[in-house]
Amino acid sequence: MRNLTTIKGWIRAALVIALVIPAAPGALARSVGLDVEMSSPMILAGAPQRAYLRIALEGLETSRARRAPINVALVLDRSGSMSGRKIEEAKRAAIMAIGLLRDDDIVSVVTYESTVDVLVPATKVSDRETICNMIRGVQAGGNTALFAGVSKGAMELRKFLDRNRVNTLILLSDGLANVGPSSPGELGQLGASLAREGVAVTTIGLGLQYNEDLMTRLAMASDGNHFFVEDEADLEYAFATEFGDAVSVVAQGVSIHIHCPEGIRPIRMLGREAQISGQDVFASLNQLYKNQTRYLLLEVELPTARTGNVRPVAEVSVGYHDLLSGSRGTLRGGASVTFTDSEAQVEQQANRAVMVAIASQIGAEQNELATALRDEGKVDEARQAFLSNAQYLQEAGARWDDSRLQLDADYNAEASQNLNEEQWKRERKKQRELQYKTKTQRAWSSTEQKGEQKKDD
Amino acid sequence: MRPKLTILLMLIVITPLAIAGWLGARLVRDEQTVVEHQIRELILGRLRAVESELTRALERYEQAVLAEFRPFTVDLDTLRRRTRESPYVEQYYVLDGDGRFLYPPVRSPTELTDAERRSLTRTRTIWDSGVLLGQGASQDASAQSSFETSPVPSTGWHAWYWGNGLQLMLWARDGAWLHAAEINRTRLLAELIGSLPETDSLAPTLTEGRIRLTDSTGQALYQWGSFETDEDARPAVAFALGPPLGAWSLEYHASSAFGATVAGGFLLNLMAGLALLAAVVIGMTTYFYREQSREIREAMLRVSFVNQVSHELKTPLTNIRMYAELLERDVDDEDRQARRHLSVIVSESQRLSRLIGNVLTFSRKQRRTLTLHRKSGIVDDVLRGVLDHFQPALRSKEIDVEFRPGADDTVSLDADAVEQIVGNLVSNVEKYGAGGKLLELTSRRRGEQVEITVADRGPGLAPRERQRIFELFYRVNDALTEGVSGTGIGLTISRELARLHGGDLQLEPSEAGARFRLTLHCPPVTAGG
Repeated sequence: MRNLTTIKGWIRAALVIALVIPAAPGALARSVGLDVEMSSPMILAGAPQRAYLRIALEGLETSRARRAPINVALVLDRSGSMSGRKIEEAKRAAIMAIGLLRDDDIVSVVTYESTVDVLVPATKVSDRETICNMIRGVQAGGNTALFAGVSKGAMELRKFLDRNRVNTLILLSDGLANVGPSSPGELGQLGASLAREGVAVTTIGLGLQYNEDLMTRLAMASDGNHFFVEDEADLEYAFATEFGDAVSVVAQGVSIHIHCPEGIRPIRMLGREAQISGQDVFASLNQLYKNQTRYLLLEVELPTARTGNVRPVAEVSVGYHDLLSGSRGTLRGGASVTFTDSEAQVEQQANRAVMVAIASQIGAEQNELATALRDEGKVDEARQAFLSNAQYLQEAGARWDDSRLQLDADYNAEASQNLNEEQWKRERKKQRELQYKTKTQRAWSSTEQKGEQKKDD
Repeated sequence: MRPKLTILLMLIVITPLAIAGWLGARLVRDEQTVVEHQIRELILGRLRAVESELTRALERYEQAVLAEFRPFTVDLDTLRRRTRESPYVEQYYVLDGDGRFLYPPVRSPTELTDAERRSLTRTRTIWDSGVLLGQGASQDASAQSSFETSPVPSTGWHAWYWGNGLQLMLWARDGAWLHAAEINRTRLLAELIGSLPETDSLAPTLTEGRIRLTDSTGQALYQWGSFETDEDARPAVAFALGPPLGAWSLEYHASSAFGATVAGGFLLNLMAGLALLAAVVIGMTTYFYREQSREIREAMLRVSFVNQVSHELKTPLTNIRMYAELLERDVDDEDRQARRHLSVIVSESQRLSRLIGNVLTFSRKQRRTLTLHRKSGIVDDVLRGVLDHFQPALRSKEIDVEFRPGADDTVSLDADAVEQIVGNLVSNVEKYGAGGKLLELTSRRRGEQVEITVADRGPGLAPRERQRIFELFYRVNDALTEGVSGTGIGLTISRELARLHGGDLQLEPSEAGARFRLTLHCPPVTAGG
């Protein structure tokens, strides 16, 4: 169901690393693997250098057959614009998704238009038929009180909020929020707050009328997933993917603390929010799925040093809630660099996985800049930006032999073709989704591919 | 006559209905006001209940944040971890007694995280104004503590505006230090929304209105209730929340029919009453109108009957007069007896033809066919003719005639009309002024007007009767008229004819007796005419 081919490169790299790094003390059947690496273990001496530190976390396949129970809130848009096929497909997808749940999972269904209806208050899934009948009765009509819908959905989730459950809010919307707070910033703030309680918000944008900035900000702030579903027929795919992810969560509430020794200056985290205070960097991930590798990419400045010097760059400690053991797990790791005066050596020793990650994140950043240019109406500049980004990704993909980078390059090139008024609306949603998936290292495929995959299943 | 009657009838119908309607409308309005007031109170009660729900949710939020405050610390790492992990708070603050930041580390700006910097920008106005520093520091009575039983010395909310609107800061004082938390505004709102009712879309209640929580700009933050309304619709009742959410309001929206249905029954009764009243008034008016028109019809029939009879009488009477006059000429002067009898016949038949003339004129006037037939003639000649006719009657009552003619030009006039008027006047002298034994008749020309006065030395008329004598069918009713016959139309007809003739007939004041002045418009007839 998930597009494994696009991340197989990372997994291969991660598996190799997982064998090498020392096991954390006291954890035999660990569900999370940690890998801390520099873009290159060799750094040019003689002048301050910038380099990237990659902290990769991998959800490991475990022998435990039983997955963690799920606590999910479905928050469905039933505003007037949803009427017709959209609401029918949404109901079908929701009913299908409930079919995937176990009896001890918790589900709640909230619908919103101008007002909010808690259709199914948080309950065990044991009585599927009643829940599905409630969903079947939903009718469309009215405005879009998105914020209130999310608030009520979160309220339902909180009734059974438990670190040992996978707490997910799935928001479906096809339009602009027009009752209550509706700015991406406000929804992002709410998302961040929910994330701190261990709730991930996954947003599904349906059609071409929704606000992709709002939907991605909300998902990003809470570390959920984001889908752009242009055709309502693909809703089922999105729900299935999301539920598939939810049932494969192995750890949540992952907090990462990076400490850089004196002289090493952490500059910024690529692609995600982090708290950088002096030598310490704090970041968090909400959920980690099995067979999924997610990473943080920290840009650091290294001091001048003499050739041959070896310096530790960072000590990393990771805390997480292991959903399989139900206990708190910790991991430690670190990375160091050796200073050299040979540029060739630096090149030669470059870490492929880290370089791919860097290219991928820079590609996403450049893509955002190009999108911003198009938003300002600078069509020609935006086209140039997309094209040069495509070229950059193309070259990086060729150099590091990474298909995901090549795919990203293709989509940047495609974006440069679709900058006119009528195509941009759709293209912008696609690019936002691409940026989102890249930043959060989630499997990504275009809508066309989704359709094909569905047929294959 | 008819249009006036119609208007009168309409007034009779409309006036009581209008008065009843106005009173009823006032009653309905009063009733409406009372009902609206009651509904308003009811709604306000509901909104107050909602507000207390919000207050409880805010208190729970306050407890949650205060739980994070403790234990009070100024440890940088602890405060940063709290800020990083708190779902409720955007940024924690600790200030010392002099208002210096203990956290975040403002004095070494490079140490600040991005989030801390952003929060400092948002909250700058608070720190610049120092408004929080005094809070809870001393025995400040105004410091509102909603948390008096807790071990925390003093806590409170502070509201300010930034970006999307109302922002809140919760502060707690620990000795000299002030701990404060910039609240995650959207999270607080989500919690408040979570505490408010939802809308059951599958089983909406019919009487349901819509309650809306709005921000300082009137935008809906959250709403519930199945009554659909526009986003900018005016609320039936609005209710501002107490601090710290003072900028927000609760609005109640309901269809305008909501209050009307309550007063509707009353309105229905009133309308029924009005309809009944209208039916009664219209019925009565119709009855009155039909009675009235029946009477008018009967009067018309009478007039037309008299008219026809008069016409029929005219010819034989003329013959009687003519032959009586012929006979008078042929009778011997010696045969006094016969002569006296004949003169009675003549004068009585003249009287009768005058009467008939008046009746016919009156009926022509009634039918609006009264017109003049002007011919050339001499006023004095007409007057002499009248005096001639009355000669026997006057003589028999021993009335002397003083005639002073002064209008002997040939003028355009309706001789029959003038004769009829003057005849009526002279007849009145004969009937009522005979006691004066004198009839003064003068005529005078004044340009195109001819002025004729007829005066007697009789008892005259009482002042109150002076105007009324010209009214139709009015007869002076006192000793004077005892035993005197009359129709009461003579003077009316005379004045009508005089006015038709471009003049008037008036009673002039005089020392004794009655004195009528008749003016007529008689343009002289030129040689060619």
